Amino acid sequence: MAGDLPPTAEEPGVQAVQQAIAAVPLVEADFREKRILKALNRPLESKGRLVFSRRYGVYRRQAEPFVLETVISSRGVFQRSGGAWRALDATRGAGAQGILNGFLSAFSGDAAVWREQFSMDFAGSAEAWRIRLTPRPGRPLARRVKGIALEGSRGLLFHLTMEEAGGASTETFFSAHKIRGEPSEDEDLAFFPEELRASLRP
Amino acid sequence: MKKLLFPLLLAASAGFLAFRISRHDVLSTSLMALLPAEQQDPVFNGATDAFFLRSARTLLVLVSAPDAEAAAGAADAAAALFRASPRIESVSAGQGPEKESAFLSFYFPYRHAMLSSNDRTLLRSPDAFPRFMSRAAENLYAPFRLLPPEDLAADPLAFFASLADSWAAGVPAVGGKPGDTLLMLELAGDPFDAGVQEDAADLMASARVSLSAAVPGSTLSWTGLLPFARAERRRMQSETVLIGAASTLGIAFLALWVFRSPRPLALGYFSVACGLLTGTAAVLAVFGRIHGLTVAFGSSLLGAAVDYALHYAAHHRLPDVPWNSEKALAAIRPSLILGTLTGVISYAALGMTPLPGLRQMALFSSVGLATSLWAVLAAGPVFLRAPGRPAPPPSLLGVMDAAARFWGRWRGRRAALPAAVAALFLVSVAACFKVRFDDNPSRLQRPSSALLAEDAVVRRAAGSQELGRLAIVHGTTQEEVLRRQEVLGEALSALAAEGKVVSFRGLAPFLPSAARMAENRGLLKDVFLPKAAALRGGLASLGFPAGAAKEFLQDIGSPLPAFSLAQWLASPVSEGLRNLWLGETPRGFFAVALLGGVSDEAAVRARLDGLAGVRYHNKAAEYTGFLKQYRRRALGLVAAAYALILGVMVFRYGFSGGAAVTLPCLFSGLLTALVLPGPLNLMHVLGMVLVLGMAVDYAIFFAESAQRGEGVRAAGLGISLSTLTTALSFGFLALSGAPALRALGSSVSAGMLFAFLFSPMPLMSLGKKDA
Repeated sequence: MAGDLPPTAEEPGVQAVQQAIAAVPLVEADFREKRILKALNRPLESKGRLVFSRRYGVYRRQAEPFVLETVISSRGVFQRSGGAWRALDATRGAGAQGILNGFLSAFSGDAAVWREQFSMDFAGSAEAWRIRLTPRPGRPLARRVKGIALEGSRGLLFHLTMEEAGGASTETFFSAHKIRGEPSEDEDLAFFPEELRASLRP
Repeated sequence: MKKLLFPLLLAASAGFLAFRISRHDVLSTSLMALLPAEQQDPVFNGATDAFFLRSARTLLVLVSAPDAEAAAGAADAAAALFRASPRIESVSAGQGPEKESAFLSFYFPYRHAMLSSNDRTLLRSPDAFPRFMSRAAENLYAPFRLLPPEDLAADPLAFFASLADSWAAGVPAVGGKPGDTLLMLELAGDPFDAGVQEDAADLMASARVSLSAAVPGSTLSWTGLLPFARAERRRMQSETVLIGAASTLGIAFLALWVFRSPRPLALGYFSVACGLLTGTAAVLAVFGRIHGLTVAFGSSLLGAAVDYALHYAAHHRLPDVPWNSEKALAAIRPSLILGTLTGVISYAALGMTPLPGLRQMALFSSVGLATSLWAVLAAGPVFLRAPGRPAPPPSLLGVMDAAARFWGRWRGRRAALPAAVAALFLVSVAACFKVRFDDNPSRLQRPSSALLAEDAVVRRAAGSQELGRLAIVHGTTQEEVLRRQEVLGEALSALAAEGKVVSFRGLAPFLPSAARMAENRGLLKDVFLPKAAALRGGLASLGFPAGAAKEFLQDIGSPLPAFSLAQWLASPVSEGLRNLWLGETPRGFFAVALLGGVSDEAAVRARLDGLAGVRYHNKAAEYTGFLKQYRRRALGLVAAAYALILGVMVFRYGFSGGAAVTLPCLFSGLLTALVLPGPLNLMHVLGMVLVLGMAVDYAIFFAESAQRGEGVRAAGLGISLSTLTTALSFGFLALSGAPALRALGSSVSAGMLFAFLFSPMPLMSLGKKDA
């Protein structure tokens, strides 16, 4: 384990992983998720497909146990379950915006943003790595998230564990990755629901 | 005894002025101070002003740290500094974990009585139950939660999440960066008080220094009404001093050059000083404070009041007979009194309006002019007892001589006066076609671009809320106001859905009426009590323990919880919202809702004014309306005053003489309106009032000299000097950075030129042919 890496001298392994993640601007993958909430007496399990775009954020289509689509972007969080898309208005506050940006930054692979938002623990090599991101105290994300553990190989993420401040934890496995090369803005946007494309453009 | 009256008046005025200035801040710069109390509806009288006075005490401070990590430290350091200042009554932070947890702990217990409007609609739908069960599942499976982690088992159907979501809806999008923290400060004093303004500016300056030392790279920006009022006051003060000093020196130079003696100059300054002293004392005695614009307008009295001394001194310089100071004063006394009378009539006309701004100016000018005249009558012979040294007539007289010859040439021609009246008619028609007015108050004030830029930065971070468009809600009881503002909230939501309003902020979502809470509870009971078994089964299938459904059903079956207004006001959750609750007044209870991004003014007004106990206000439009009203009344009353002056002149000089004395001021006013560029505003009109007052004086001086059968060169010299001194005062004013003062200066400068050229017009009808 590398401990909290100094800002200017990351291990070569971290740099290699960051470069590999940054080289994947858009990726699709299947996900399988297990969520543990303190209030419930059994875990919640779900499956579906997810798109991560460095430009526009995350589009997650849960297929089981029921269809639930969610878009998490720096423009807000949008959700629908069968009906029309609903913007979660609470994302408009400055505090919520900070949390949202912090959350999205965990998947960016951007070295500077990682350093700014998290303290990092790295283990493994570029072929099989494990990074634990702990939101720095005082960061908005620290109010909601205790830590995010990422496991992967080169530029692809295979396993994510997120521990929330309220006691909840979420474990997600990713498979069947499809990498898209350097998509144009429109090609990138085409992976997101049509009704939201106008709202997602910067 | 009679001789003691004048010194007594001066001593009393000086004593009173010294007393007031030593104990109070007497200068006001607020445009609101010039406007009348709201007249349209006595019930709403004062409520909007109360809101604006409260808002005026608010300062918004944006602390920007280089990154989000440093933001909390920077904001805490700034807040601690502000809390330690006696000038700041309270400090509240817009966002932050403390506030989030305050909202959660205050409102969570009421989650089954306070409902979002979406939930109220959903509860009324026929498939309410299955839809709420679906929402419970969606809430659990949502991949990322932005709201504070509340107790899910205590709110399995996510009513609180929906309520918190609804609070954010309608609020404009926040534009701050992650390192930004917005602080809201409430001043402990009047933002128009010079001491408060300077202390606040010093506090911000020292906060900037301490902050950048404590958290390197952080910055502080601030806004509110105070920095704008301070800048306006400082500009008015410095320009009034500068303009006063420049015109005083200019007048001194002119008087010494023409009279070759300091005595006429001393008389002039003495009479003007007496006028300013008593004028200021009178305004403070009647109104309590004096407005910066009154001082600027009144300082221009210098130009008019000095005329009496100059006119007397001109006779001293060019006497028709061997000089006797008493006799010479007796000879010109009628023209001085008549000139003052017409001036006072025109200024007093402005005082007959209900508008405090015009009444201040009228009182200042009337009292000041009358005192200046009294000073010349009482002290003139003392100052100019000895005859002047013989000297050739000053070269200054050349232009006036030419003008006098031009008008004198028309004497005895029957067609002259009808031709002048016809020319006046043509000028009036041209003025009707050309002159346009723009009463927008922004034309009277131009804040510095640095202030506007800082204001924009802070307001963008604060969500670009507007204070100018608001709805006032009135009720005879607290509960009635709360109910009415809920109705207003629904109307505003509908307007927002139609795209006629972008955002609004009211108290309804945060401060519900007892009736609304009871209604919400009834809706919950109607939907969930008959489906108790299905609810238990549904929640159990999602993984909730059996106690979750039981607790919810027990909660909606138990007596309604409530919090008092006092509890809400004392809680941090009301920070930033408290100013919307105006509270109890002798006319009932009031609250305010703010509107942002109104795109269809007429539709909004029609919809909101149709609601019981609600009145929509657009303050910018109202200020424009007030200024238009000011201008129209000023024009109307001055027209009436001139009809009266025409009567007095006809009584003294006969029909043709009276008309010839009154025509110059009418020509001067109309031609000034024609030559001024761009649309005119209230200050141009006030400038024309001054022009009219001085122009009629000039014509009277000529008429009286002609009437007495004297030569008119002494009058001509006096008028030439008056024109030059006035042009000096107002010429400087026309260069002012303040648009209001610039408008006043340009209209008077232009007007005086015409007044000068038309002043010998009475020679068409009065006096000897060779005069």
